[in-house]
Amino acid sequence: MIAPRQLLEGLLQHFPEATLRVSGRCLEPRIREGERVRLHSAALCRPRFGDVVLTMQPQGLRLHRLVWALGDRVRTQADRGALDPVLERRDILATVVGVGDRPRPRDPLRAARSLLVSLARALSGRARAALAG
Amino acid sequence: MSASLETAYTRSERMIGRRIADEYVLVPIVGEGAEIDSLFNLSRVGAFIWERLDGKAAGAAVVTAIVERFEVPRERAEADYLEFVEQLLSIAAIRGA
Repeated sequence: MIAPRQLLEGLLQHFPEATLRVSGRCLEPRIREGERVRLHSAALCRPRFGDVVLTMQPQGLRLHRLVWALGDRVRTQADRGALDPVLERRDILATVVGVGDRPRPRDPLRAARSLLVSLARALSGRARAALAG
Repeated sequence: MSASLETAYTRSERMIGRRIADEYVLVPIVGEGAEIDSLFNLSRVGAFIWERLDGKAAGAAVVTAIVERFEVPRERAEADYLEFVEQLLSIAAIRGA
């Protein structure tokens, strides 16, 4: 049985554009559950900070926003969720280039805000732990 | 519509077959893009049949080709062909010519 990653990479090579129906509400209100997103291969449409990307995460495929990139390491995050584990850039399979008839849902400001909030929470947690210890 | 050995079926232009990493998948096309959350994985026999649904060959001819290629009894080839064509008709992947 073909692995989902291999299948998706193959499909994105064969077809210039792919579509996927969104399940879950972690990108609302920008992308709503049930909407169909349009994807281009990340190899051909290099994702930029703030783009929504299709990634292969340890728990499976996820459509999340790219909020951090340094060299080959990247981090993604749902608009309504915590930071995902560190991924390699090759784990980004596709870039969302449209949602239904709407344009590319790139939002660098939202990405920056999400990242800062997550980092602030992490620091706050560490500070509390240090004080308690 | 039920499948028939007399009919020559034609593949829908909204459904494309692709071989990817030793698997053969049917991919529905929506607008300009592949609908990747509605894929159909075909067996070797299914892929063989799919590639022959060109609107010219009637079912009986495709069954003959299956018998020759896979060395199976004709009755089994007919049953497999009709079952597969029924499934393709149910998802509008083919139409009778």
